[in-house]
Amino acid sequence: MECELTLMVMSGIDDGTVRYYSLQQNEGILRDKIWILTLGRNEDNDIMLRQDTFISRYHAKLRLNNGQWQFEDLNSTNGSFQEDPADFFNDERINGTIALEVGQLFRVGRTWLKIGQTQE
Amino acid sequence: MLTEILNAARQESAQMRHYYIGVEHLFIAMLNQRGGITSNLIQDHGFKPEYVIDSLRRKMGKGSKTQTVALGLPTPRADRLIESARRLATKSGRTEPNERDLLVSLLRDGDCLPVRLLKALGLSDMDHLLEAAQAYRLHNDSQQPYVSIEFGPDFDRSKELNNEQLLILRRIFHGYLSIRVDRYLTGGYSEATLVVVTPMASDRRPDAPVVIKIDQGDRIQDEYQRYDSHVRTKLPPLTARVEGRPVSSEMSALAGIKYTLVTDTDLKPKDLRAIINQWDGETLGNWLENTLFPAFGNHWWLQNYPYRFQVWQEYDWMLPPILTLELTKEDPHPTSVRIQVPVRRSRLRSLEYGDSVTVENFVVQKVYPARNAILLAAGPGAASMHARMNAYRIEIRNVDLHRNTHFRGEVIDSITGTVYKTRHEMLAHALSALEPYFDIYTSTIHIPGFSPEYLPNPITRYNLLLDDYLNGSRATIHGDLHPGNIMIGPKESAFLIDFAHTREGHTLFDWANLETSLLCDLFIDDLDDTWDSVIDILREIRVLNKSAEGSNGTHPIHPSLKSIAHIRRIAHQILTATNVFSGTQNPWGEYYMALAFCALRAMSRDTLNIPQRRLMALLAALAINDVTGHLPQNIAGKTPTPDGDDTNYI
Repeated sequence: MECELTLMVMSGIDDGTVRYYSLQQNEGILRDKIWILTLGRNEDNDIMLRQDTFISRYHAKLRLNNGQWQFEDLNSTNGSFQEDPADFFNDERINGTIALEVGQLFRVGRTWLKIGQTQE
Repeated sequence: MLTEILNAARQESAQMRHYYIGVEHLFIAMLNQRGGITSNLIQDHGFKPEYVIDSLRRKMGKGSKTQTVALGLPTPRADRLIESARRLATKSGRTEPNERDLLVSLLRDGDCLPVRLLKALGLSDMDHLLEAAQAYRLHNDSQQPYVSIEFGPDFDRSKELNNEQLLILRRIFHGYLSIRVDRYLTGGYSEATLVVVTPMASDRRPDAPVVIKIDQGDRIQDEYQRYDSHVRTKLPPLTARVEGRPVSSEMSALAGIKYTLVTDTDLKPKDLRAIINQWDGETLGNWLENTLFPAFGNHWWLQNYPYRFQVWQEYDWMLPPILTLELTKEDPHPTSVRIQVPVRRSRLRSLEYGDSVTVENFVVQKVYPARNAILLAAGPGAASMHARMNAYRIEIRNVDLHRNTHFRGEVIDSITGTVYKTRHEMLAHALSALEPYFDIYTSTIHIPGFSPEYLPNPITRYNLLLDDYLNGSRATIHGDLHPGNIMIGPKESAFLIDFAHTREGHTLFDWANLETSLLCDLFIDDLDDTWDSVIDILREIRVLNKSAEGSNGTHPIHPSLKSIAHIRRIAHQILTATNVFSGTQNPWGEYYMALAFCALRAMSRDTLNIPQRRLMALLAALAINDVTGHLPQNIAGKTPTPDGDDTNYI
């Protein structure tokens, strides 16, 4: 299984930054064929987002399971959100785990992110 | 050019407490360039630049007051944008990028927030916009489209259209030789101007008449968005439709929108108010019940979703602001009362002038630059229903809008001010303006010769009702149903216009609202300056209530009230459809509740004359009395409020 992630920052001070993660570089862990990455403000996260104070120290987990991305909010203080297709200004809070498509926008704290296409 | 835009972007960023320069700030800076390509292009596509700016700010949100990163450097995306603009400039042999270079580069980045916003606003064809940006030539604003405007014989010349309104009309009818403004359509609560206009083709033959609505730009934009999402797919085949995008002008904050009337003849459209005196009560009522109600019923009022709600959720927004606060220079008093959603009204009851209050996580509904004030409301924190988001309005005066940017949709974490006015004071002021013969501060009003002899005083009693639960129904409602918005088309078909308030809401609201406005129109000649003339009509309404409930049929219904009797039959249909009649609770309480709040709102409406407002005050009293009779388990036993005690008013 290809364990690579292209993560694009879509808002805030790092807007336009693209970050790459891969299991080969010892980022995340593989457990039961599921690649798991942690996301938060603390330094020991796989995906560290330091600039947004609305992001919790341990905010969320991203999982790649059989080609499908999943996002889990770890009861973060300021929450994680996805766009409401019916209302651009209303963000829907994510409770627990949701499936995440490549290209789909999601927000942790005040920072919008999206998973980009992995380079072949 | 680039330096100017960068400076403006930096300023925008600082005002939003962002401390970095993103493409959003650059875009706002470009939209703010007077007479620039960006603002003109956006305007040509039907949007006011201010509207786009506020939408963008709303989506970004303000940064926190305690942000530590204070760099003011461009984000990586903004860097790339500027780089790309530089390349475009070099290609055309210029040393510095101009606004067009920046705009073209921005529109090419489909991922950036401004482009996603434009798409969400309905400008889905980015390729077209990009082409337009590349080819755009600034037109000379002194050349207004010349369309000659004449006025028809029915036009009320005592209320002239101003130059800004005329300019909007000329823009809308660009390409016509002349237009004839036939007449005003009036009424309702909005400050909008509605006129019937007949455009003339070059051979001077009149085209089909249309209705033009002119209002503040942001309201017209909202109406257009709402029409697209709520209304467009829910209209009967022959109807009034919004045609084309809104049209705005850089000369004023106004915008206009066009309704075409899809008819099979070119009959001049008439609103219900214009023919009220031509039809007798029975004919009018019959038309409402058997033409208007069925035409929109299936898609609108008969949707009948069961809906249990607390009264404040649907009706608080109709009342005056719950508080008016004033910002003061001094530091806020430490013992301030905090107001958050859910609002506990009982906490506010002891507030007096000068007390310090902190409001947390409310949302800006309106900005009044001329008055230096903003209006807040509960916002999405109070759930997503439209009426609920507008509940618990709080006006803040003395906001220094030059130093603090505020925009619609902004969430204000915390703002502290001192009490300037309470809701109760505003209602008491409205009631005392009617020169009542009774004491406005007692809990009942004595009505000589009336049965019952005492009615609840609406301004001291409405507050109790706000916490009641109703088991009712919700549906798509028009939101501002009154005789000025109901049109009679060919073969007496029913049209509705003005969808600025169309929403999901309490189904009976539309009909209670229509009843109160019809009552004001119907009895305008029967009311004189005595309270007795008001009480006479109230007596007839009492007969109607009994008759509609089926509890008394001996008294004949007053001829003018026959149309209202049909509205009650429509209400009965709605109540029956939700099966409330099968329960033990008398369902009319749900209707009287809606009526009480509609009448209470009309009581302070200055477009009504004093006798009409007196009628509304007593109607509110009667409706509150009748609610009490019909929701015994709620009122007498009183569902405990979150505070256990909420018997006072604010």
